[in-house]
Amino acid sequence: MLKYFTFGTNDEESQLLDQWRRESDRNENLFQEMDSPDFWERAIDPIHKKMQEEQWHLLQMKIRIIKDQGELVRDDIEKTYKRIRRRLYIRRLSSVAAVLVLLCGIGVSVWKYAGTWDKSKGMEQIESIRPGGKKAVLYLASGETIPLAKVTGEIQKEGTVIRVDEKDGVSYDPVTEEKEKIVHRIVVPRGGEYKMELGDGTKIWLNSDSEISYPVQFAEDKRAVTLRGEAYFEVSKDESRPFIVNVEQMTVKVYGTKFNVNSQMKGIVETVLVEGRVGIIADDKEIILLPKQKAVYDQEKGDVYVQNVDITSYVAWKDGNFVFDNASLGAIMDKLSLWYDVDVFYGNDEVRNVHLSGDMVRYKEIQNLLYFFEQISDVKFEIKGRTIVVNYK
Amino acid sequence: MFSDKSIEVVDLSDSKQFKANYERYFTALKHFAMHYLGDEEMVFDLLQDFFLKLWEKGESFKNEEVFKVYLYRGVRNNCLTYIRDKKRAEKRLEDYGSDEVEEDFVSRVIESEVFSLINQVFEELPESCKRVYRLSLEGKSHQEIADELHIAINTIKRHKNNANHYIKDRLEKLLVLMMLISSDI
Repeated sequence: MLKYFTFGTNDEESQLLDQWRRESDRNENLFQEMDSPDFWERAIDPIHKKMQEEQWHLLQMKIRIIKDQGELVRDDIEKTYKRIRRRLYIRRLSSVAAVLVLLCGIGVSVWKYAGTWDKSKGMEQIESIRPGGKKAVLYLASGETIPLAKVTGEIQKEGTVIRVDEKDGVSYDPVTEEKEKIVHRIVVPRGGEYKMELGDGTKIWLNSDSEISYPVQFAEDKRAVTLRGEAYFEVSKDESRPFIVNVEQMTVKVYGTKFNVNSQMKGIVETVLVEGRVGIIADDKEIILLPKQKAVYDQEKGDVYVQNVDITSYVAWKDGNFVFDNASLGAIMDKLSLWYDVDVFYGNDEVRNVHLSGDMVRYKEIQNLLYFFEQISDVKFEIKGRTIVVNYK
Repeated sequence: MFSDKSIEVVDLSDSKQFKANYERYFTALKHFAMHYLGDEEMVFDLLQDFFLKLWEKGESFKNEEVFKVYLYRGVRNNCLTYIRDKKRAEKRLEDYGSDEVEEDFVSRVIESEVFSLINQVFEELPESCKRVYRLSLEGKSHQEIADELHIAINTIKRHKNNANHYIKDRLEKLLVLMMLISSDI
């Protein structure tokens, strides 16, 4: 395996390798060891990264303590730490809880450290391009704004209770009293994403550069919201009230289900159904969509085109992944530009039609994905400030 | 754009560099120390101490090669010290360190670096490629992988091709790297 991966067709290097191997038994043995599938299997085990991250967090905690308490405490901490640990037979102290329990015994207040751990996913920044994150602003009916990424807890506004949670986003308590039609709006900027839950239990994930308006209390005969951009919906079942998404010039009528609506491409609305049943209503016509189908509404032509698809690539974003299945580079870069909030410039227009596949956690740096694409195609990328320049090699 | 150019100066007092170097060398140093200590828990303890001291000293190094040698020698010395202390405490007759030959040290460094590099390059692959590749290394056939992951056989071939292509490109300078390591140490 080693030889295959490293020396391919390069004869000169191949000879150098053979020479090195012949130099001594030790070299040969080393080569054999590194050549074995077993060596590779162990090397690619995902546990290495996990261990490294755990150990780093542990190290960071000790460093913070030393910074705060001064060096004199350091030896004491290390000794006490080891002593207590051996006594309790705790094998690998990587979980926060275990370490907190131990350090409390030394009389150091550690609670504040748990929250301040550097939880940044991904590597250090080379340029200033960051992957997206939770960013959203809530607009109340009065026009008052609430920056959702910065607050948590319960807010009582306009007669309703709004909960903001770090993990689950915004959620509304069901409203029972009669209320005047109060409409709220959540706006997610470029480079953002946000999750929310309406009063009826419907969950909505919003992607970058998207916004959704909804009444705090739904009408009696229907639940209607208006979307711009892209969102993934998990609509709670309510047979008496169909759920309706108004997007651009068309409507998606939902009968209790999971689907993705994307209106980020100009003049087109793409709806992909995961589970359940929806109706696509445009120009007074309704077309029923079945699971694993995609409907593309073309505003100009005014028609809806349905096809069977592998839905993974359309809904992966909601779980934090990019999945590209033989997609055109143009479409890929469009999505990346929204999430990373960057501009794209094509040195050669044709390069947009290069088709690529790949998937990646989208909280990683953009360089990872671009680098991968460079290796598997004829395309090359250059990052200049906040612009990505795309060209053929 | 993504060059492997060595940094001119390695400055450990810079927290960003400190973290980057930790991430870069951890897997290799762990693999390396395991040769001496054999116990994962002890190795983690040792590396914690080692990096804590590195952080406290906040030293700078002229170049990457000098830094690399410093790291490996430092960890090795710590390992040998630990073994000697343990031996003294337990009064055993086994002798780990004193007849170690310099060549052994170099081989171990090379092996650890290669191990870590394979790990790093592999981590850069997309998830689906990784999944397919791991199963493939276990000896599973394309059909078995297709059944397990619920994807088409063509997709599997595509993933494997992409992965091979990528790994090859990234590792092609490996021999040069290995020779460089041997000459520096």
